[in-house]
Amino acid sequence: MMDVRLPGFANNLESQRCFRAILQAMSHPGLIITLDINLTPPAPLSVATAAALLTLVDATVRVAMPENTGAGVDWLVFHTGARIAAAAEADFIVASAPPSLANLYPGTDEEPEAGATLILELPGFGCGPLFRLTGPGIESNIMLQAPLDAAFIADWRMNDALAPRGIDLLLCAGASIVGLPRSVTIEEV
Amino acid sequence: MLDDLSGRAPKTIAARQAWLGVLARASLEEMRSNLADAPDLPDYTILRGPETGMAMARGRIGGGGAAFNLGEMTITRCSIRDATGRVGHGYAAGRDDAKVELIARLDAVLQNAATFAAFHAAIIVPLAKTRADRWAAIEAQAAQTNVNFFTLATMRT
Amino acid sequence: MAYVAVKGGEVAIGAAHAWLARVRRGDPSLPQIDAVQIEAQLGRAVDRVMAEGALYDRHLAALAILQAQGDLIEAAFLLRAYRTTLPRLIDTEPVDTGAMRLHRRISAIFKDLPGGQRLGPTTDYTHRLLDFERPEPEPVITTIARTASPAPRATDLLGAEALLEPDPSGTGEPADLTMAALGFPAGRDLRLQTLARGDEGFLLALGYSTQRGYGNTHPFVGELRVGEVAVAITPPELGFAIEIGDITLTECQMVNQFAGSKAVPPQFTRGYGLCFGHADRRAIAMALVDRSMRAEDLGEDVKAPAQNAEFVLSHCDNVEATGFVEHLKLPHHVDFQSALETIRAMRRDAEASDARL
Repeated sequence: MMDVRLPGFANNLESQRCFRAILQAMSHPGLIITLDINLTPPAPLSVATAAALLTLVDATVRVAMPENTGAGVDWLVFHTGARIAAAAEADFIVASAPPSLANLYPGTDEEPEAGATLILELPGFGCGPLFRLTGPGIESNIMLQAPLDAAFIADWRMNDALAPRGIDLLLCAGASIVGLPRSVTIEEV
Repeated sequence: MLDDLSGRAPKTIAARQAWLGVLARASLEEMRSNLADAPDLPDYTILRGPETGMAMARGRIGGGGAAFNLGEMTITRCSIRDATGRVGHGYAAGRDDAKVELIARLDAVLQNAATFAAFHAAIIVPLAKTRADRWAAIEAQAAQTNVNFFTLATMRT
Repeated sequence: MAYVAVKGGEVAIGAAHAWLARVRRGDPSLPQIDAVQIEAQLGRAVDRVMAEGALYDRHLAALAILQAQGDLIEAAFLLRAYRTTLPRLIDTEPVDTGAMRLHRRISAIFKDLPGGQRLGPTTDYTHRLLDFERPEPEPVITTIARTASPAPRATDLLGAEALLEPDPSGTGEPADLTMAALGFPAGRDLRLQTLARGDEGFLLALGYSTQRGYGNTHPFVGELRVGEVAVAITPPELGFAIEIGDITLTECQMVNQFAGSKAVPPQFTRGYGLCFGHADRRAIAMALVDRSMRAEDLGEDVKAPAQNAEFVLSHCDNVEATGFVEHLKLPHHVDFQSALETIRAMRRDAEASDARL
């Protein structure tokens, strides 16, 4: 039987507020935005990841969350109707250890918007290496300190070759998010 | 899934399907008027909803073949956890939030062996009778229009 | 064709809306009608708007009819627009029309239909005379309460003899017009969904055309039934099916002569109609057109409009059709200016070449 003991958003306004925050994050790459939300998601989902999923996922969306056990999956399916899928077929992939981006769905040239979004759970921002971000939505450059490893940054360059296809990234830590659309260049400084 | 303590409690999925089917077809007013004869409902917290959306109603090609999407219908759902820790789910066609929230609360107490009998007798039994009476009245009218057509032999000669 | 933005006119538009509201209300000395009265007393209009709006909700359809001043296409448009504000929560289990609580069930091919024929609340045997008196109807006589017994579909009876093609089977997810734009070739699932919400007048005219020889399909109404069916869903958190209520549907089983082909012996083929509400005309027309569009699959010559699935399905939606047709009245000043320049230039060229001759 499904574990449905934890509530989701209290009302539609919370979902609308989160949507607005995610829109801000994706249109201002590298900007740390803290969600003003009261949510108790099942472990190990962070508040930010849980809020993003509640906001963006419905019954037409495929989600892969390989690191989550029953409670997290049940919670997501109960509140959103999400279809649980393998990472390669998913619209959203939730992970704390980044999977190889080449294994995720990048969309097609006709429908690049169908490319997957990776929701990467991080222990926090303001720790780890310092990165310079450039690209559309950033006037000159912006600095972001986040615990992303070099292998992932190398993997991210794959997006350049795929354009307009590609994988979008939403970094989540606690109640904070950072949006990194596929068009952003990430360099360690 | 359901309590099985006293022997009087519903043991089967069929029992829960039956009361949820009865409640979904009742109006909020009908449910509330029967609540007067029932014990007080426990406090509760909302887990989901009440929210209105759509269900895609499906048919079958030719009536018995592969499924196809016929068109959508409005549906409202609500899930609650009551003070005893039981989770109740309410679903009904239409857009009545208050009704579906009450269905969820009743679904929770009906799963409880200690409260099943009282709520079943006060609410489900009379609502099931209301439903049966309504269907019987329609059937009685419909049956009066049953017809036998006779072929006139001369028409074909 | 290009669209050009215009600005201005706010005051006039506001005044037009205010006048529209007064016209909608009518003579203020007369009582205002309410959506609940439309729901109760204009049931066939409600059924049509639910079908073409592709959303089963009697009260919303009644509200739309009231707002649209009885313009049923506009009402369907309002319902379609409203549905976009609602999330899709779940798909239902396929309804079982064989278990329908029958209000009406007739067969044009079986006189002694097992389960019996039942007229229901029909206008079939009324004189089409305007009734200026409209007396109160006779009260219901319900001295004998009865329990309905479901009746088998008439086509299941013919099918047992193998003279009738069986229902097409399949277990995959059906195509969904609300999630992906109409594409071709369209499977029977997509066709039926499109027809179920199609314009009744368009379906009627196409069905009529098949009877008049434009793709003759020799149709018989195997069965027409109207009644209530239970709708069930299986929520993931429960894992078993529960009923959420009942909806009224009309189903038509059309039976058509088929000469047979190399692979298939002569038999009866079928067209299927299923729609929201009590709507004989819509269901029969839908079944005619469904069968007609199967011409290519059955190896028949495709010559008539009703046999051309792409033509039928692309043009049967009255919300799409009215949008494109009616948009012509909106400002096209710049387009027309450009067309005017073109015509003037062509005329100058023609005059110049005349002068040279």
